[in-house]
Amino acid sequence: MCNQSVGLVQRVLEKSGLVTISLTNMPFVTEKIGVPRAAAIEFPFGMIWGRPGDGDTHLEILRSMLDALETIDTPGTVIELPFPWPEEEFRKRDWFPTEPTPWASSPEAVNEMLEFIQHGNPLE
Amino acid sequence: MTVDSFKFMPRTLAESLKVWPYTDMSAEEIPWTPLGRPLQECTVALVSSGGLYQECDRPFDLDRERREPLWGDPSFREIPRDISQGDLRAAHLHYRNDHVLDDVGCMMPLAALEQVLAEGRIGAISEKHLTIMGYQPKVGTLLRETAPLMADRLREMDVDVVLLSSG
Repeated sequence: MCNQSVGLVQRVLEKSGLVTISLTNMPFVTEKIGVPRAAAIEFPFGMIWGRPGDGDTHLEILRSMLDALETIDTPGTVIELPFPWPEEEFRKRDWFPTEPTPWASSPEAVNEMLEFIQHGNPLE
Repeated sequence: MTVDSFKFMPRTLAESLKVWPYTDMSAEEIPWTPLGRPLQECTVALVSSGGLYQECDRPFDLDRERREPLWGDPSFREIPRDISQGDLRAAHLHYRNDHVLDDVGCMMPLAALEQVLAEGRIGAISEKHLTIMGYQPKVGTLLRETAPLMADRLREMDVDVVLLSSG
């Protein structure tokens, strides 16, 4: 959902005259929303620019984003960044939230969410 | 597209997000502002949806989300360019906050941005960056109220270029 929120904000900022690019780890969503420029990366939530202390990766991603900002010339373009999340890091599975998600915290909450998925109005 | 959007999530969440009622923007053209001058002359700001805020500021409201799980706090916060790691807080229930509290660079590459400024790759860095809390099942307020206010704030700070990233 974060990627939908970012995409919608990005569209408003771009429309106001700012030049924007977003980093997304859910291109599935970003492509649906349609943003002027985006770069997709297969990194987990909470570490989309890389692991803590990995300044080299943060910098490499930033450089790639700036390059893409200059080269993308068609609205809606999503490029892919070639940075893999290492297998040994994947095995840590240390990106999940520590507190149970509210919408999954009770059968009533789950039903409410399922009802929203089927019949809800996201623009509410 | 080889990037797997669902790699890092449990299957039940992935299945929900595959059929999620995303906002349909297809009736409106994708906006476009050309880069009007060299990046070396542009002022750059970051926007993160990680629910980050300064210690002295008001947190994003997680208690209301706990009571009303289909609601997410739709407001925005400002993060000073030179915030110290110890002043950073995170309020977002959908990723593990520990990593960004160790190093803001996981979600806002502040040090990297200073580095590219020092190299002359960009012209300036905005005094403040902006954050939202990206869990927004219902996006009406974010889209119609918060995002225009963010645009005003960024232009007030003479920002030209915005780099956004998700939670």
